[in-house]
Amino acid sequence: MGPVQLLKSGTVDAAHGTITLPLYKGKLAGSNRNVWYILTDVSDSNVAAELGLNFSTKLQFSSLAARTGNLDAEGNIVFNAGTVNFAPDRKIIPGPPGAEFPPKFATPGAVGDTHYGPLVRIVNAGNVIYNAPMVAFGVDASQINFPNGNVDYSKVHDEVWRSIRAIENDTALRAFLETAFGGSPKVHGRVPGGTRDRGAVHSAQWKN
Amino acid sequence: MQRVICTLLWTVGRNANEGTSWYSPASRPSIAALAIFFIGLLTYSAAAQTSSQSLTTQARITHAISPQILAMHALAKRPVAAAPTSLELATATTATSATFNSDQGPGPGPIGPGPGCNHFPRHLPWEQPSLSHILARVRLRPIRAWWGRFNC
Repeated sequence: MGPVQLLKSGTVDAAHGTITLPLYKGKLAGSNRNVWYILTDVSDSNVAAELGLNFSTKLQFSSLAARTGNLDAEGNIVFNAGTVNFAPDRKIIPGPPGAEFPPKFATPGAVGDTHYGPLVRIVNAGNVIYNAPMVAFGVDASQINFPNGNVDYSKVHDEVWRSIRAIENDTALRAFLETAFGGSPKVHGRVPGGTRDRGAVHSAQWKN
Repeated sequence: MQRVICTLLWTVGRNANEGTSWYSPASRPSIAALAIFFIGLLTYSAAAQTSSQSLTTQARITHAISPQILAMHALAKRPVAAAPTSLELATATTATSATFNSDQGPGPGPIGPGPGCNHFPRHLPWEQPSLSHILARVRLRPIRAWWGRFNC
């Protein structure tokens, strides 16, 4: 993220380094489990302009690596495979001052299965590829509603910073997620994956 | 292709027996056969490259999506949320950084007071010093002067 905001689907809070993005509620095919995800990049320029996403033409080269999914009637993705366990507690102990990296100890806060990846190819809609990192899995909206902060990181992505606001209405669930660009504060040292760019959410999602 | 190779072999064999030169009329068929052979090779390799490129092109998704497909994706459009203003910020965040860039901490300082990395040393580590440098080290000036007569 530079001086030009390419991800126009969210509102940037430059003072706090956060962005509020729409939160999508998809499904995992073959089960009734919820997949909460955000959209950041897309391989098609028209879709990018329509949804306010970053157009990444190189995403089309990942068609073989991306997992697959389908759009449902509400525009949410039904993923064919890929889950993430957000229950682990992220811990990191930096090295001594001046040599913080590599850390003395580090465990990821979320672990994806062998089928998980943030990229998904929409089979029933032109094979367009999204960068759709998962931020919560297998939970209902009420379990991840933290309007006043105090986020339960055993249920959501560790980069979800302060709030998830869910608004239920008659037609669809519209939720917003606030996530941070950067790494954790210095009490955690230099956190792996805490990059400054927009892809922090993606890069912070650890995969075994 | 097989016929060309047979012609080539037959021609070369006849030339070896008859001892003709490349400029003689008898060697002209062999030159023509060689030319045809190499042109065939070039054509075959070019065709192979073209086929591999076409496979790569097929793997790409370069076609524009139809309006119907775009409408399906447009269903995912959500209103842009306003930035929350009433939220209490995390204590650690407010106490440690004014901007998110400062979370990364200061960058490293200079490596040292020296001149830095010398990309063009006088002698590379794997090079043996020349004889003149060895003589300079042992300070055998007479021999060095004598050597300089031949090493100017």
